[in-house]
Formats: sequence, C-alpha cells, structure tokens
Amino acid sequence: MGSLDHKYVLTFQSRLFKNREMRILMLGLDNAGKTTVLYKLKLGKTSKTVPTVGFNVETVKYKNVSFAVWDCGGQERIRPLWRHYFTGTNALIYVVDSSDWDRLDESKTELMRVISDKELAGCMVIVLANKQDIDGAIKPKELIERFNMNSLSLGHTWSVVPTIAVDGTGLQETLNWISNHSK
Amino acid sequence: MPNIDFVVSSEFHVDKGPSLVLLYPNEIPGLSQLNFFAELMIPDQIHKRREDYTFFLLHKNFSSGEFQYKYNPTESEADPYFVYTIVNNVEDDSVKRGSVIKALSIVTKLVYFKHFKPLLLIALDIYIRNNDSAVLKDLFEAINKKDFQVSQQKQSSIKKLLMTSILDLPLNEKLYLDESFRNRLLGILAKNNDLFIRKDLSYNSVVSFNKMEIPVKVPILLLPDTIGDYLNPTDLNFKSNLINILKASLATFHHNNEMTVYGSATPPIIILLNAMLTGKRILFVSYDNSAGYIIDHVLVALKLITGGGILTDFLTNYNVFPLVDVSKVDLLSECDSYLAGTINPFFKGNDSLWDLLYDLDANEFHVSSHVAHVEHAKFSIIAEDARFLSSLQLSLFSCNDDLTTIQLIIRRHVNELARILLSQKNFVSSLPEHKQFTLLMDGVGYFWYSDATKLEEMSCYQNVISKFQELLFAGKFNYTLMLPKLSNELNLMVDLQHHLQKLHCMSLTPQGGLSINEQEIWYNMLKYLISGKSVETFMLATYLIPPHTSTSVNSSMHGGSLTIFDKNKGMELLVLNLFNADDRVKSNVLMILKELQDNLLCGWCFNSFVETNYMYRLAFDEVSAQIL
Repeated sequence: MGSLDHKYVLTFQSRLFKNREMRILMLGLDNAGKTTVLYKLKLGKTSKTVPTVGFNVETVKYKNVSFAVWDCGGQERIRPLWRHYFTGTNALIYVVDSSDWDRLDESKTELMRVISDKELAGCMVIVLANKQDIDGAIKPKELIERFNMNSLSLGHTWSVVPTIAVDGTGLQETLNWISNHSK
Repeated sequence: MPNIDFVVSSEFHVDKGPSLVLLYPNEIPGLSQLNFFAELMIPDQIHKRREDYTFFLLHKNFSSGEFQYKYNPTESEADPYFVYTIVNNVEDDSVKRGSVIKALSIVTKLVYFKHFKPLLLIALDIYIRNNDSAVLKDLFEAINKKDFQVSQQKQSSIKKLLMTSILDLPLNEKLYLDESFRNRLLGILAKNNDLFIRKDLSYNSVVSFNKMEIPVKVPILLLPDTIGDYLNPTDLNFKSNLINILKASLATFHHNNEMTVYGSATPPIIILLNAMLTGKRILFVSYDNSAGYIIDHVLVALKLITGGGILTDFLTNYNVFPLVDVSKVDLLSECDSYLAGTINPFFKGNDSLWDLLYDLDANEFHVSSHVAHVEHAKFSIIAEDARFLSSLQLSLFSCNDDLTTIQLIIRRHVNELARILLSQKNFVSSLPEHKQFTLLMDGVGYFWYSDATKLEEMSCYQNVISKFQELLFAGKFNYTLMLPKLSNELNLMVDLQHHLQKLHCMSLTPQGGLSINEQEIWYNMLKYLISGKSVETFMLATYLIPPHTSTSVNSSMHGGSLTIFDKNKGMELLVLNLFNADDRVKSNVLMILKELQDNLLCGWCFNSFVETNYMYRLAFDEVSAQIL
C-alpha cells in the first residue's frame, strides 16, 4: 500500500507542477541538421557534427517538460528503419535543409510517408525550415506551400518554424510550441 | 577447409548509410536475403568513437549453401560462421562532412577469430589510407596459406573437458617440454610445420602479411560453444565484466517464477543463469559504451551458461545475436529464445521484445512486464547457489585468481545446476532409449544430504526444473555429461558424480551422520573402469566435485604449503582413501589407481600428484605390497 500511496502522491505532484515527459522523434533527410539541433538543445553549444550512424538520443529539459529526443540517421538506406521509433511518439520534429532546393521534393515525400503511418496518427508535427542563414534558403511560408502542409489530415497539429540550428535561432520556440500544444 | 571463408569491406556512405563495398573471394551466398547486413558491421554510434569491433553469427544451409542469420535445426550446418569486424572512424577534412568510417570483416568458422585482430587492424589501416581493395585479397591469402590444424584425430569431449579442468598439476609444462606426450595426448600424427608450441598452453603460427611476420595464437584444443581459447584465456575484460554482472541490481518489481527464484532478493547473476536455463529472450543494452563492450558482456553470459562445454548448442539453437540494431526487430520477434546485445535504448522501452533486459549503463536487470507472475512463497538460497556465489566472490575479490580458476568455478556450477535440474531424469531405465544401458548401482542425479533439504531445494527450483527439462529433451541445448552418454563400451554405467559427491559429503560430516556402503561404491566404480574413455570420465568426475564449503579453500594443504587448488579435488579425493580404515576400500582404490596408471593423461596425473606429497607415495607402495 505504501508504494501505491507514494505513486499517487508523485502523480499528484507532477500534475500540480506540470512535470511532464515527452517523447520527441526528430527525422529528416541526411545533412538536414538534426544532430546539430539536438546538441544545441542539449548542450547549448554547437560542435562540428559527423554523419550519425544509427541514431542519437538525449534528454532535454525545458521549463517543466523533459523531452526525450531521438535523432535518427537520415540516409536513404536506413529511412525504412524510422518506423520502429514511431510507437509512443508525442511529437515529430522534421528537419529540412532549406538551402537544398534539389532535395525539397524528396524531403516532402519522406515527411508525407512518415506522418501517414498509423502509429503517428494524432502526433504533433513541427517542421524546422533549417539553415535559414544560407542565402537563397526557402522561406517558411513557401515551404508550407511547397510541402502542401495545409492538406495534412485534421489529426495532426502542425507548425513550420524557421531555424538556424548552429546559433540556436528558433529552437526555443520549437520546444515552446510543442510544450504549449501538448495535451 | 580454409581458415577464413570471406573478407568483406564496408563503409558508412555519407548519402546512403552503411554499405557493403567489396567481398573477397566472391559474394556471400544468400547475401540478398541477409537484410541490413552492412548495419551489423558498422555499429550504431560509431560516429562518437574512433574504433570499435563487432561480431555476429551466420548459419549455412547445407543444401543450398546460402547463409542465414537464424539457425534452422533441420537445414543448417552444425557449426556457425563468425563475422568478425574491426571498424575505424577517421577524421578527414578533405571529405564531405569530415569523417571516414570503414570496416573490414572476416567470415570464419574459427572460434578464436579475435586472434586475427592485429592482422585486421593493419589491413584496415592500409585500406583506409590507400583505398586499395587488393588488401582484401592479400589478407585472405596470407591467413589461408597457413595450416592451423593442431590434431588429425578427433578428441572426445570428455578428454577435452578433463584437460581443461586439471589446475592443480603442471600440465602446461608437461605439454610444452614433452613432445611425444603432447603428440599422443592431442592425437597429432604428423608434425605441422606452421605451428610452434608456446609455454602457455597454446600454439603459435606466423602469418606473413604486408612484409611483416605477425604471430597468431592457435588454441591447443577447442570446446563446443566456446568463443576464444578456453585453455589459455587472455580476455582482459572478462573479470571486470563478470564483476559488473555480480554487482548489478534488480531494478523492477516484476517477478518471474523461472528467473527470480528468490523473489526480489535473487542475485542478478542467478537471474541471468536461470533465464538462459529456461530459454528466455535476453537483451543486453548500453548506449554509453561501445559495441565491443556490449559484445564482451554477451560473451561472459555465454561462458557462464556453457561452462566451457558442459551445456552446449547455445550458439545454434538458442539464437545468439551479439549485436543487433532496430533493423533486426523482426528477426528477434521470430525467436522464442535469444541472447542478444544492442546499443539502442529503444529496446528498453519495448518490453514485449524481451523477457530479461540487462541495462549495462545503469548496471540493472529488468524483468519484462509481459512475463510477470504473482510472487509465491520465498525460499532460502539453495546450497549450490550459495557455494557458487561465495566461491566466485572469494576468487575474484580475495584470491585474485586467474581466469582458468574462475572458469572452473563456473564450469562446476553449471554442471551442478544441470544435475540438480535433471536429478532423477539423468537416467530413466524405463525409457526405450535408455533400455540398452545397465546401471551398476542405484543412485542417480544430484546427491542431497537429507530428504528435507532435497524437498526444499527442488521446490525452490521447481519451475526452472520443469522448463529446463522440457527444453533439454526438445533439443534446445545439450548436457555433455548426461548419464547415458557416459556409459562404457559394455553399456555399463554408474553415476560417478552422484556417488563421488556422496563419498565427499560423508568425508566432511562427523561419523554416524550418514550411513553409506563405501566399499560398494568403490567396487562398482572399479567395475565401470574398463577403457580409456571410462577412466577419463571417472577422472573428470573427481575434478568436477566442488568443495563442500567455500571456506575450505583457505584451509587446503598440499605438501605442507597453502594452495588455492582445493577448488580442484581431482586426484586427492581418490588417494586419500589409501588411508581408509576398511581394507576392502583400500584394495578397490588401489585397483582404480592402477587402472588410471594405464591411461596416458590419468597416469600422468597420478604420478604428478603423488610427487606432491611423499606420504601418498608411501601409502601407495605399502598398500600395493599388502595386496600383492
């Protein structure tokens, strides 16, 4: 009984103080900047990244929310493995290299493929239009049109945020948005 | 048979991900069916390290010749193939995204594949520096040019188990110095000029590669399901990894009757052993450490359960996947039992995929909620578990024993466990397959001092017992010392282990405690000893008798000096009976000793042993003179 009481008190406390845990999945094509986003969020600094072999996972605390952020490698061959990470995901951060115009369509196709999976039904989607510091990068508004985001099913709450991962621009807003929109 | 069958290179392609680059001398048959093959050579998280190693197993279909990840009892060859990979991550600012990750693998049936590490490191270095594919061919040819076959004759498992259990006598010196003894013992008919004997119970071979002469250590003998060199173990991490398992804690409140036999107080090493004995799905996970670290722990678990050839068939039937990633989720889902390692903590959150999880980072064991039972009455620890734990702790923390001694402690425990779990089922005369054998004397299975203890200990392990027997008789694994396998050439048997344990137990209790017919036991053992095989079986049984208490380790005296080898009863158990009060016992023991003398290895053991204490020699000569 003692442990049950204890559990109840903990649950009550976490409700009272809104301590929450969220599972965030971060996907995107290779070289989109996922690992840079992750470590900028985690460590507050940017280090030179090399391609991710497999995945990275870190816990990021922001306000009263503990985000378990999974960053999965984006190479073509391993994209079919993304599906294994879907179960239990609260929000999907989809990172787009806004300067890589040649692969925007490929990026869109992968995003649509991912969010049509039933395991991600109802999951929040936040698209990071990353690398906004590079000349000629696609602007968020244009990206919304290009990705046809308005066509997303009603089940998904979504947003597109302009980011520059290397200096952290837009990353706090991303976590804010996720935190505010979570049920 | 070539030493290595394939050399494979792979890399992490910056646009595509892990990719196979070259296979020499040809493509691995069935490669197209081996999903995400390159992922097993380029381990997750290698971008955070400069180097790592991986290995995994392949099983060859004997009719199609194709390789598969999963062993199929009706279609796969008996022995697995090992894919051993060295992977390096080199910073290189001249390439896109600043890093080159390349790996080189050998595919071989040789269980001592790790001995090729220096060759692989050199080859990989050349491959990364020059991007020269010719190095694969050179490596393949250099290794296959040598003949690593030690013996032309197949050795019996019993003899190999015996040779690897003798710790109290200087067998390595004898093997090193006496070539003719060595040749006779190992069944060497013709000298192999590619091998040179080393002082430490191994052979050396020298492989010429890249204008260098690289020594490769070749084991004197190989045991089933044993990765590496059991007789001359050199794994530096073995002890520390074993200590990790010993120091681990149980982190969940879930209880499983076949694993947590003592409830939440069950020591994790016992949980791990029980999990393997009952065919559980076991996963080791570590995000903070390298693939090599995880694999080394998986190998410790394998060593713990096989006892160096006591329980076998784990590498095939049990499904051993030393390192898996998410691409192998479907493969794991197909297996009713497995022992696997992974870097990905994704698995930790999915307890439908495993029954027991060992989190190496937190050093915690977790029981899956999917196999949780209601906890029944708690039992006190059985004598054998207590003895094993205290012997192991004493050995690791107080005596600082070498790896061979620790291996023997493990081997004895696995053997004792198998005997407890089998007990009377070790031989059932009414079974049709056992009908041809004659049991010379009643008494089979583990020996308990009292019926009350037997009831208590068997009740404690009842769930493990029934599951273990079910798996053993279904062929999931094999017990090498199953009684019918130990019958002599006349199909006669006596459960040597049962009776030796009885005698040993009696010798440690005050007189009048237990009434047994000592003479009858020695007499029937003598009747059993008709051949080299039976003599070696007998000798092995004496070596596998564990000390009655761990404290006796400290009080053992041979020749007046303190030794640690009381853990190794061996010949002493026998020779002490030359001082028995009963002349008939003395006479039987003398005749047993004479039978031993006729056997090459056992005769050497006897002669070496009596040299350690002059009183033994005197007693032997005196009893011999009396009888004659």
